[in-house]
Amino acid sequence: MDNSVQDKIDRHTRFWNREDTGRPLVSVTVAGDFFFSRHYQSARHLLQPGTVITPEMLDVDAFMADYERMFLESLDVEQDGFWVATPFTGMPWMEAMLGCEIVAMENSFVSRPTGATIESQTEVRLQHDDPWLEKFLEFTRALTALSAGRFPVGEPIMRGPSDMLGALLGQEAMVYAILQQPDKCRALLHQLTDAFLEVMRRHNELIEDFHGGRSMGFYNVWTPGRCIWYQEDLSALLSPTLFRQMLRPCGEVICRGYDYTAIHLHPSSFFIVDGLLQMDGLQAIEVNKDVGGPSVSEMMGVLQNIVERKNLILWGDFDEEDLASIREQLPTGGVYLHLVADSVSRANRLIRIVSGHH
Amino acid sequence: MTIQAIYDAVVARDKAAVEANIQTALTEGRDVTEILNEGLIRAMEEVGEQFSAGTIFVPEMLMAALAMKAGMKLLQPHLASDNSQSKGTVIIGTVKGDLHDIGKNLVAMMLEGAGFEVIDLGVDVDSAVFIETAGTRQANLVALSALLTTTMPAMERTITALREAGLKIPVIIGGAPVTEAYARQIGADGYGIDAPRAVKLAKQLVAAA
Repeated sequence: MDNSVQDKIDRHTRFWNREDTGRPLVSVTVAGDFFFSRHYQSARHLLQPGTVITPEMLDVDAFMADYERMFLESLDVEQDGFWVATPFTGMPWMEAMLGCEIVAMENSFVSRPTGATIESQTEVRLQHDDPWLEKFLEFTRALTALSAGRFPVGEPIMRGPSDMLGALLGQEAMVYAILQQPDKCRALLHQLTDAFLEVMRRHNELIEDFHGGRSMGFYNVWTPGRCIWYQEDLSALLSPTLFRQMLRPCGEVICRGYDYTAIHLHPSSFFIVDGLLQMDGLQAIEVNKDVGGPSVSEMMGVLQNIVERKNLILWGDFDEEDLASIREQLPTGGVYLHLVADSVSRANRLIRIVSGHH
Repeated sequence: MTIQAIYDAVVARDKAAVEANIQTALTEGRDVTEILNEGLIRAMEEVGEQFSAGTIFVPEMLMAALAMKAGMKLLQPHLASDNSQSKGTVIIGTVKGDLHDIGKNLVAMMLEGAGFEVIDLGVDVDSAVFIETAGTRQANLVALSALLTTTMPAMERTITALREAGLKIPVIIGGAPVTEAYARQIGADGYGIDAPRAVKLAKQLVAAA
């Protein structure tokens, strides 16, 4: 793999143009497990089950050593992607900014519903001086300074409109609310969309271009222009019709202001793929290979359908069989793999398989 | 009033029609067991089939389950003195560390719709609570839910604790990250890929016990 910066940039440009890159592009996260909060030594002391987390408990400076370590580890892997620093990905940032209590579990941080009902939740407004937003931006500033042009800074996992509504009301209550008060839910979903976009706008103001482009955090995908990615995990609780009526308009608003866009998708939401493929502003669909399955070969029909119309990013703990399916059944243009591997040697072995040198 | 009208109203997710039809059926002196089995339970089986086939989705199944529960509430006073109606007692909960409840709630409602007595322990449930409740309520089945890969290990801890406490009750597990292989690995007696199949599994395991 030719890994000069310019070659990597060229390959990413070809990926976004859906040109043939000879093989899927690859980026890697080296992780012993999927408990991403635990990858930060500086956060481990907070993982005391039941502890309510407040923004001042996150010492941004203390996190910098973790980021420096992760950056250096990424250089050991022969990948196309550039490692992207993101504000502490284990934190449910949007939920916190919207007023949900954040609680530590054994391995992660979760949000609790606010106790609001669809009747009491009259509107959603992001406070511009919210302490969680300030903390998020403090991370962004510190990472931009730490990078000094060595690596890009980007967006971490951020909840999308349906996820935020579910976080506020509770998931089951959200489903009933959407069925029983669709107009009110539609208004709330648009307000939540605006809140997400405002956070991203302020985040993007603080970060700098990396070799003339930006990067999608978590997936390490470089883009030749401004980028955003979002998720609608709770679409799994809706239906194709409700997705079209309630969520797709929000996604179109999100994608409108950015040059390069992606949505994160779990197989449990595959029934919205047709709706996503009809979204003109959406360039890429990122599909997770979840721990419990299905395998790549079991998802292949959906993946092929996606890659006919959009860029495809695949994320997960792929095995040799998965990679064989990808090589044999997916085209070599417009496909990006983000491998989660438990060691650098495993990562490099998988990359050699993708590259055809095994 | 025909029992078929009750069945149709559940499948159509029409709570008001379910209630009205059951009231009429009770007034007409229709057999309560027939209303339950042929009106509500059979309808929920059909709803489960439609979900598994991908012709309806979670919202439709939730609304059908709500309609069924409303009907069940009307039948309850007539069933209360006759425990023979119950297919068994199921203890259900989302395991320690996990706050997600919609999948668990759906399974609980479907189990009720299938004629089980369901004791819902809620979310973030410690293994000790499963053990105590399963023992005191003489449960026939324990159902564990988890939505997160990070909380799946709590399922294994709960099953181990149940076994160490000497409770040989069948345990089923379910939730987005869970698989059949994981169920076998941690010593569960079964895995429900979705709510309807969890109910089928529950019926098989309780019948076989």
